[in-house]
Amino acid sequence: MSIKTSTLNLKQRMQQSLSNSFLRASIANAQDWINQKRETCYAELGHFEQWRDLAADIRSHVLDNLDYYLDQFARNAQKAGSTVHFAENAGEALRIASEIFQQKKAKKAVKSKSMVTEEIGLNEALEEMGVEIVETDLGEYLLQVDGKDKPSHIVVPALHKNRQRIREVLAEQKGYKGDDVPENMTRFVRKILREAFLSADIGITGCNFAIAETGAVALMTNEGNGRFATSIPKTHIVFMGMERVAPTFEELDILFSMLARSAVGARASVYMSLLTGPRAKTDADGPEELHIIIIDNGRSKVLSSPFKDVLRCIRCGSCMLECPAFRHVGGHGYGALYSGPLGAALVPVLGGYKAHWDITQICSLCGACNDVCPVRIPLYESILEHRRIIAEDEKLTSWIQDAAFSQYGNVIGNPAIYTAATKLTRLGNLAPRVGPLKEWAKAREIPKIPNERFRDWFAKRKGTDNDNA
Amino acid sequence: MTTREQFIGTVRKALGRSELPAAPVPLAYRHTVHTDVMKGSDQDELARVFMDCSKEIGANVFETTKERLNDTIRQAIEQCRPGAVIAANDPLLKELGPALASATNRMVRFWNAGAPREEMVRFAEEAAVGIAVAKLALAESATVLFFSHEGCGRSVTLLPESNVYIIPKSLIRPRLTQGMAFVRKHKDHLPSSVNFVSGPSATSDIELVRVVGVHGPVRISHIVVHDM
Repeated sequence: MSIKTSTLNLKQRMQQSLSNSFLRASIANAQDWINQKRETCYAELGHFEQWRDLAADIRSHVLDNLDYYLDQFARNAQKAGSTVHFAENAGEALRIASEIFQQKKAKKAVKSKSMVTEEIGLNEALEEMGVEIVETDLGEYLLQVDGKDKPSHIVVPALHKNRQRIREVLAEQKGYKGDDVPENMTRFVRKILREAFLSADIGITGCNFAIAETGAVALMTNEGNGRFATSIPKTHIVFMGMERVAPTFEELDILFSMLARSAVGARASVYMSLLTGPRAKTDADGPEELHIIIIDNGRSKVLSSPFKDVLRCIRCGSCMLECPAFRHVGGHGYGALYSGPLGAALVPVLGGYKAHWDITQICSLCGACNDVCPVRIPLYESILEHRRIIAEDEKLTSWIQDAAFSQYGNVIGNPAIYTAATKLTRLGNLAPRVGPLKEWAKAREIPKIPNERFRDWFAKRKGTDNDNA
Repeated sequence: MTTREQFIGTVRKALGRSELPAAPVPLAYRHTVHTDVMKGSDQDELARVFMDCSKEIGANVFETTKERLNDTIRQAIEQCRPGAVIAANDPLLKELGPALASATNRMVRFWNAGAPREEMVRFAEEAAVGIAVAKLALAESATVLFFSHEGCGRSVTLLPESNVYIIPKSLIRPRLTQGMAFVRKHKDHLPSSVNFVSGPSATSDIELVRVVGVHGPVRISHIVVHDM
């Protein structure tokens, strides 16, 4: 997979998402449920605005000094015994990974959920080399078993599947014979994956945060797969987006405190692991080698752009859960790996306007995302700015849209034409339902335009009766 | 391949700088909301919050004294499936060792960093219960801190179906803020794996139904020892 996840155009993706009633119901349910949990959790903690001041300050401070902190992290990680690699783009990251696999003669890898590995298309590349790569996050595993389906949410990737479908898939692909109770299906997968963990040559994880002061990699997981991938295989490879740095463990406190609450409405995740180098000679378990691949892949471009603040993101997914557009189209509708308001703000810079201009259209600019973002990213302002760039600088909007807006400008800018045009709006009732009007009218009734303009009605009414009678 | 200099150089240019800056002035926090949580609470209060939260996240809770600890561990283990016990090589547990084996009528083996890797992992995988002693505990989220070093491998708190954690009451702190400060204080001698563990492993990946026990332990017992 890469950043682009669909070959369909915006309209086709919308139709696909909107016609999937199960998907829409489960996303609405997830939004309501997790949002409620998150609110309760923050209410209990108190001072949400102050907490997010701290988290935003930390992330901004890191981005402003990213060159320094990255250098410090890399040096300290190396000192701790890790091997640090640098990859400018996806291709380079994959080359580094494949060399490690060849060196280790590795045939099997277990992977704990990581967005950046999806971004660079790691699974596909390793499979081409003949490596068996097993997703071990329960949701990701279910997607992988179901014909390599794609995640629809960054925290709950299999949100679009119901228990019946999951039972079917496990029965067809893995010989599961039980019922569709989530607990029983989870136990079944536990057994299968336990074997995978014990037999894998390499463990693969992402990196929630990298601690500059010590060279430690910090991971937040709930299922335990992250701990397995970093404890049992003899080699551990960390794929790290270059912006994921925190200066010290003390800043990590604030970031983890926010991440657990914003992502799933919990006070803490089950496991918060701090991994500093490979195992010591005196340890019996843990990886003998720890490789950290630090990946740019467009991030330095974001850093020097007006959208730098988007890199503050800690991947909690709360903007998606709050977004009314996401509620209807789900993750797949965005056609990109990162969806929701974050996706609309980030993807055009990472993947280019030409391929991704349309993602910025999936937003009503309501600003609900800004209100919940734990690191105060100006999300809807970024999306609006993208739209300006798309129209004015990149000129990617259609000629029909340009013509319509230029016509609108002419009407609005000339009082005589404006008066004449507004007097004629009633003719709009006769307009054929085509184009955007047709789309709009599909699920809604188009209101009838009254025969009289408000201004005319008001002028007539003025002074004719006592208004408040 | 991109070298560190090249990579950092690109970042530096993106930030509009011509050379790597000196260490930045550490960030000054605008608020104290993180250090204010449960400020001034005594150990009794912290223990109460810790135990309440433990129950909420699905851990079994026991309270005991040092003298009765062996008996309490036995009670906690009795609830687990039959099978061997793997214990951290901790002075406290070592002291209890032989008595524990006879009291529970189970094979008790201590983590041995000198033994071959495969042997220790296999034993932990087959064991029914893992026992470990907390390095620190956090009241707010019922979190227990472990340093996974030679005395207590990563496997002890990960592979067995059940885990029993011994938490001296005096080691309970308000929240992650104190936990991370503790880790930072030990930064020069940190083991390769440090884990904050909050209850049994869990997921909500199928229809958002919370299921306890995914890859890590299914059952967790917190034993709070009052006079330690």
